[in-house]
Amino acid sequence: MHLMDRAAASRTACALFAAGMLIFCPLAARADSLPVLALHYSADSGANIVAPNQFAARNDYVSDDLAGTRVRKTIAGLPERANLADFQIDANGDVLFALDIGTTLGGSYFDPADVIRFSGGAFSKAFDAATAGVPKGVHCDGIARLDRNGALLLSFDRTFAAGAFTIRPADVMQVNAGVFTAKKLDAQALGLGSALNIIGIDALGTHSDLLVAFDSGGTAGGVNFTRNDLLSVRLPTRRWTKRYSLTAFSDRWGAAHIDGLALSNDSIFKDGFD
Amino acid sequence: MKRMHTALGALFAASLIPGLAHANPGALEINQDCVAVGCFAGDAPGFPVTIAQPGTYLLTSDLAPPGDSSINSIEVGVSGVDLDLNGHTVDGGATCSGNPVTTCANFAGSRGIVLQSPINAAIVAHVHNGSVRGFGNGGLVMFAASDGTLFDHLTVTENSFGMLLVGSSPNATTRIRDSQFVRNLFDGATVANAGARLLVENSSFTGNSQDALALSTGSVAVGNRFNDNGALGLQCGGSTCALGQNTFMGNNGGGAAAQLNVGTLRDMGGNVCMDDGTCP
Repeated sequence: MHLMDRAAASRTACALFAAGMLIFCPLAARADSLPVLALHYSADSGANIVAPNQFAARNDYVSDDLAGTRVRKTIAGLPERANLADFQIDANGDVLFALDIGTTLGGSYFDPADVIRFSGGAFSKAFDAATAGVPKGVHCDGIARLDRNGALLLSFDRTFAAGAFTIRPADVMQVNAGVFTAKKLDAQALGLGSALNIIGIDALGTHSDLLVAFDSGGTAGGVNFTRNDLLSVRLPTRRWTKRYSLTAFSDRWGAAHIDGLALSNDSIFKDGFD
Repeated sequence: MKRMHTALGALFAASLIPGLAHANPGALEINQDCVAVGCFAGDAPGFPVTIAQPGTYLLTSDLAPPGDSSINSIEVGVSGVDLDLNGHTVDGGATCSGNPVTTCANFAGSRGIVLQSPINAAIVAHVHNGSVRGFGNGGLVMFAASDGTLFDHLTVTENSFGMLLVGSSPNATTRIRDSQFVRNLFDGATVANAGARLLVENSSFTGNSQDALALSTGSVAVGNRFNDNGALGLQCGGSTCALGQNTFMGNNGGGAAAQLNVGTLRDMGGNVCMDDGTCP
């Protein structure tokens, strides 16, 4: 069955299940098999990652339906010299993102550690790094939400202290009311190497699973991965799985590197259903 | 599911392809893919990449122009440009044989990197950290360099001329340091305009077919190595140049052959000719 067809069938079956009908859900709802309707990704350099001779700049992202259709998406108004770091697409269509440089957009200045909301053509601050205690010089490089519209999940590019937390590059922090409240992914507790840095996150519509990208190859939970692999982790069981390798999507991923990802999927699996 | 597992195996295998990293936040990006659509505002699709605004520019892939000997790769037309090759190569396609070079074949692009103002204004630019090779009309060509222009940490090889300083502001000095000019078909670096000066430091000139470094009055060469070039290691004939702590060996046929020619030498001391010991 085609990937898209499989995802659609899963969605239909599970929607019926959610509606109270006793229909078997065909996919085991684990991080390595949670249905993904579309994968969105961005690269750290402009490249023909849409298709041969179809370019996406480093401040764009690509929407991939995993069935052969890829579309370049541009966030209007971003400066050419900026690189789109990670991003999150909310259910209402708003895009939350961070940039690699401090930038003034719509008259407001955004630090590289801030999360910017793009909604209806306007920019606003979705996370104020200074208020949360993030030191100057730190960059936000991972953005997601729990389930579809839950708390922000953020990752940063270097180690720093904020409140009661020492936040490391491979940690994923939960944010509520603008402050860090928990480590959703605790890199040390999971035994991740200190050199690893998470640079892309999505929660797969769950509270229990994450899809992540790192800025290097390495090992996580015994799973070896390379620079452009996407790994899922089921947090309660600490089970890591290699979910995608973008180098199979385009040979241009040999030169460009992923630095942002987001998913479109179903929220039916928000508790994992393992 | 089996099909998915098979696909994932293929994905893993393909993921072993090595990649290149880059970092220079805030720089405008240049790479082979963006050339087709224009890399930034003011740059039309296709070669040359035209830099018309001051700023920092960063190569994020090698560049290879099409097989058209009339097209340059990168043209800098404005002052205040920092062009970071980021370890990449601007590649005109030619390869040369012999050491010193005797022949080159397959020149594709015209010039690698050109500094030329469309209004003949002086240009101050910094070009660094990469390679320029294989261009039929010069690897680095300056028509309008001015004081403050700097080339460093470059490898310039297998071009016709490695660097050609055609023009500059009156009495302006272009600086080269920590670079290699290797196996170019004619001179490694040459001043073609008597009013232009070079300050060349800590660089090496090897295997170029003709003179390794040709200077004009007011130029300075310090701490360089000139070896195994087809003609002189350093040519400043009829002009006044200051030299210090340069090393010469195997140029102009080696042995007792002249290694350099300077009209009026301002000797800063420490120059060494390693073949027969006779050296200014």
